Amino acid sequence: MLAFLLRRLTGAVPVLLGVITITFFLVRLAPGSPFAGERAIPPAILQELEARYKLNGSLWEQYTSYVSDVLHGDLRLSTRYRNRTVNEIIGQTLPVSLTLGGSAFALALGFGIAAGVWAAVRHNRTADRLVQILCLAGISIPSFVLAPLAVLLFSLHWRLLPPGGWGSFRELLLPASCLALPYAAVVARLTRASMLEILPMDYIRTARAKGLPAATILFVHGLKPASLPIVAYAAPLAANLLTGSLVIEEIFGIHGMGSFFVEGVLSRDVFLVAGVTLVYSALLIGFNLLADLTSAWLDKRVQLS
Amino acid sequence: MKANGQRPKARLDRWTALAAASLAFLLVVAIFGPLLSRYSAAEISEESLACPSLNHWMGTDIHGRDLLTRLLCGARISFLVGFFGAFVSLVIGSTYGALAGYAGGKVDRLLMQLVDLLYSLPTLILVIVLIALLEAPLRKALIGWQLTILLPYSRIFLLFLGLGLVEWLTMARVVRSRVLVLKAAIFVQAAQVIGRSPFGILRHHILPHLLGIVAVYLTLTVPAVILAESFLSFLGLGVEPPSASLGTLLADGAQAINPMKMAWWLLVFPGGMLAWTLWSLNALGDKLRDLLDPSGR
Repeated sequence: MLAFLLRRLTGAVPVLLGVITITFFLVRLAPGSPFAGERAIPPAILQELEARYKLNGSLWEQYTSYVSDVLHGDLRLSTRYRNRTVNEIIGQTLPVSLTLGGSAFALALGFGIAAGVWAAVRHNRTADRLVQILCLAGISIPSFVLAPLAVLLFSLHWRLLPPGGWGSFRELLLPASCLALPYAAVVARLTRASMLEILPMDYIRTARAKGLPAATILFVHGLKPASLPIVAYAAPLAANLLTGSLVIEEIFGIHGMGSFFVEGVLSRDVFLVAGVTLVYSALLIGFNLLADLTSAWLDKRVQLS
Repeated sequence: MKANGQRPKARLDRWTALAAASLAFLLVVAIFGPLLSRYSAAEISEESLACPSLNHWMGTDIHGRDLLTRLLCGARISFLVGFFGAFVSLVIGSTYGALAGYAGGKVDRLLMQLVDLLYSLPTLILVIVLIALLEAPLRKALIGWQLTILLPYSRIFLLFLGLGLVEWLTMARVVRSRVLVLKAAIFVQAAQVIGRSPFGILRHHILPHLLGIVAVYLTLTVPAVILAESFLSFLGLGVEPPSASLGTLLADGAQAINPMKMAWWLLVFPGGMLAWTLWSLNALGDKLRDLLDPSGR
């Protein structure tokens, strides 16, 4: 277990290094200076700027010095948001994106699993059909279609929830649900299919015969083994929620990591783009690892290798 | 994994027939619709933000352009990006998967480790970086090659490429596992024994058996690419004016939301069109996968 953990963590180092390399060279080699856009800058000032942002010297020197800075935990200054470090920006925006993504994750799993179990228990009855139709709709409606419509209905027409902003629970409700809903549909479908395989099994019948409470049978005996495909889906789900929040942040005017990332790409902010991409990748690798550990814990037959 | 472990029924049910019919309808409408329309997609008129009426079935946008016409053209672009992106992913994915599966051993392990690695990276993030940064060099190259007529299409071309580069992973996995099975089949071993070249075996014995499964995953890749393209266009990183995809139209619609005047049609129609397209493609692809690849998910 510990050996597995160590191996995976050391395996992540070259991957992250690769991500840094790719993004750094992509952003650095693309034409367009991070300082362009305003007036033409006199060469002397440009030189000063380049020195300040450590963008002078050969490309290789820039790259090696950047990697060494990153290894020391310094993601450098943003060129778009002058005088703010990338560390600062990520430090302020990552919690926002994680709160949004985390709430959506909880909603997607909560609603998805509940609906899936319900549908499986009522197999081929009205409830099952209803869940299936809702799933079909949920999968076909992306969150960036859902979100503006939800704003239109809930915020502007019925005036129930604020159309944007960040900080209170009421402001979190709409963006998190819109982000979560399409994925809740996928989770529900997975749960339903996997419960339908487990429920007819002999040991479930034995548990029923012993007179165990229905809830225990369903959630302990049934759901635990049935949740393996859901756990396997959880890592890509986390990835989709993180990247999906780019659009949700845009629609609801939330200043999360995504909005800064898009702005950074457009303005050639080398270090901001490289830094945010690094954080995204590290998070994803972490989620994948967590999913593997969870499935090993849920089913002892899963081998960690 | 089918419910109850039942084998899926070998006939197409009503839902699938409906999905196929609506896909055919959408395709016909996207291809021929703009030709039949009284308006052109870029035609500006005085009637800004008009409600849906007999003149403008889906209303007009802020510049007075007919939404129905723009929607049909947008669907055309979205389908185009979807099919070409899926095609790029098909070429990369099936070549890669076939290579890994057929080579086996160390090469296979190395190639598939790369796929696993890419699965664990935020690919859409990388595509955003790629598209935003390769655009200027591509434009420069087009001007250098005297191909200025292609300039408005540079972003769309990058979308084909970028999305194709992202969406090939599943295809590679599926093709590889199928090739592994085929490689052990007796007819392939027989071909090896009589001394056919590996290329000949791939071409004549393995490829024909891959076509079905590849076709199925192609129908599932198209909606994934359309979705990704809409996502990028919504952010302003995809298809750009004067062309419009469903994603750009949605972004325009989202912009038009304000408490003063609610132009709901700018949101509801493009959203509905996108959802409908995704539904018919996904429903069809899912069913085909159940029929042809019972092992898949």
